[in-house]
Amino acid sequence: MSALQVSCEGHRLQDSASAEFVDIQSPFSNFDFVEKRFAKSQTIHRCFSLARSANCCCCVVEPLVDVGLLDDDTKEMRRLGYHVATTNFRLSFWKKPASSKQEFNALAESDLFGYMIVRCDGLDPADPQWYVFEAVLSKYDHPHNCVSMPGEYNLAVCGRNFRMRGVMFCQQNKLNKRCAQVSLRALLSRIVPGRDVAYSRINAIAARVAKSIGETFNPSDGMSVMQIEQVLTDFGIRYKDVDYPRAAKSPKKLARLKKEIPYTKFMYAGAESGLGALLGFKVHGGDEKSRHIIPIFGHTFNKDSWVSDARKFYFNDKDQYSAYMPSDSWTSSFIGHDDNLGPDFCVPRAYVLPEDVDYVVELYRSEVKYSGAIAEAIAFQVLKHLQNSLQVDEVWAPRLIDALDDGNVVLRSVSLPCESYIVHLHQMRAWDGTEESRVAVDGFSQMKLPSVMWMVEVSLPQLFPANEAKIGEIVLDATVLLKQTDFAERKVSRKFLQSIQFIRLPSAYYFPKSVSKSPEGKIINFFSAPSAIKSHVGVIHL
Amino acid sequence: MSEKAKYTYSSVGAMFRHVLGKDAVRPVEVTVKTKQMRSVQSFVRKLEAACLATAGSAMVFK
Repeated sequence: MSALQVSCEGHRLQDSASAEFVDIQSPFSNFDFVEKRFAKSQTIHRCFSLARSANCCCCVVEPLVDVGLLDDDTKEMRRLGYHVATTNFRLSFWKKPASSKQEFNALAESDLFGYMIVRCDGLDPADPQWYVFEAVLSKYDHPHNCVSMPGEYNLAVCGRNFRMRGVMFCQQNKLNKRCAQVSLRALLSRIVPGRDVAYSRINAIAARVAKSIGETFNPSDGMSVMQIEQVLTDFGIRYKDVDYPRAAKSPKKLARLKKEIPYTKFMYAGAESGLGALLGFKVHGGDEKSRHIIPIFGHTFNKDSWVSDARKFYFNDKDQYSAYMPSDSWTSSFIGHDDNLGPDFCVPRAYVLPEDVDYVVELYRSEVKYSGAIAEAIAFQVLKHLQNSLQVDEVWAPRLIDALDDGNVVLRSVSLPCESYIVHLHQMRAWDGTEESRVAVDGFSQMKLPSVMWMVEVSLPQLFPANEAKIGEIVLDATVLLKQTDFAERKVSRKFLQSIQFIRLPSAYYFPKSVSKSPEGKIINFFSAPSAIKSHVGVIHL
Repeated sequence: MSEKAKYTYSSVGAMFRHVLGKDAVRPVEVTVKTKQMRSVQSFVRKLEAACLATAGSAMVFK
């Protein structure tokens, strides 16, 4: 473990002076315990409820001192003028019982459901405000509950070290951290060196932004869009964000913009294959300028979703995406945290109304330069252009062409390192069990593919939800920044052509070769090469 | 220059043809329909415009 990791994870890895083993099985009451020990904290209660749902048997409660990020947090609050006297506990939840250190030593890492570090700042001893400084709990164990990029966190319990996978939940205290700071820490802690982010660093960046425009920054006042953007930039995260009220100049244009560029598109792309997303929305009854923001990092997948079929069949839904079916049509809910209410909630995709959403951020995977929404749009156009020249086998070509004509082709964009694509190709098995030829896999292995690619998977309505399968993919270079000028009329820019790496469909690959002119317009010259895969294969699971 | 480094991403197909042999591949011509391209251009333009317009926002998240 590096020195940086120890310094950032020191608060989780510290040994405790004592440990209390609490049997949380029946007749133990979460209500009684949280009321008595943690002043009815709703978020702490939510963590206990998740542990109850996972049939946990034991909770180990250990007092912690201010070291590492806890110490940094306390010092920052004091710098801001708050006279705090902090108290911390680490609570870990276990799926097997343990009533003593000896019994605990028999537990394995696989028995760990999760942990939380709870904190009381002690600002007002008469009114203790307990909150979750951080918590990492196992994801709901259902195959259709998708979290593409959980973090890995090291922690110690009773002097033993464990590793926990999940997405960190953090809560505001209204002093030095509000919803923006905790949402950023939740998403960034998975990917930055050392596996954590100090609030003091986030606040220092926000203060620098405020100073640059002649303002002072008080963390308890929350963060602005500019400050959120700067934090992401300073941490080296590429993103795409939309501030809807700023982007539209009138209420009429605002409604149209929200329909043309729906916030769910960014949330899905970020949750599906990026580093997550941030959703900022109005709080009814709140002050005019203030908004709440929450981190989104996963989604559910509902095979029986009515939306994908019904939107065309009944509602004549004619937006940018009506020409194809985006794979988010089968998403019922996004998975995210809400620091006011607790971790790991399902946020139904239609629940937060577009008129209430003012800000959305899609965080890209490292080196990705453009949004998954653009990747899908490019892929769809490439398919449409290729439609008349498809040489795929006689079984799947007509089905794909029908789906393209009817607007029923399913597209799912996934960003991934090129090595992952090679592994995916290597492991690919067609419905009849056929593998890709060794020569083809070796051929791709020898190529200098881009470090990160958009793989836009191509499927059909009955195939995607039932089999979780696809008939091919369009592979794009995700590291080349494409702009609207690359799609200008009568122009196929070199960058646009270069961004298309290849297309794989049943029986054939297609590689763009060059662009030439003809009286009818531009012609992209592809050449095709045979593929041993002649049927559908499973979609990728990152 | 190594064999691998010689092929840039713009010539991925050339490498594939090299591996499989010339006889295994065949040309496919695709005419670009500018009308269709316009929808991508329009979408990307709207997206770019929306994403640029964040400076000076009065919103605060707390």
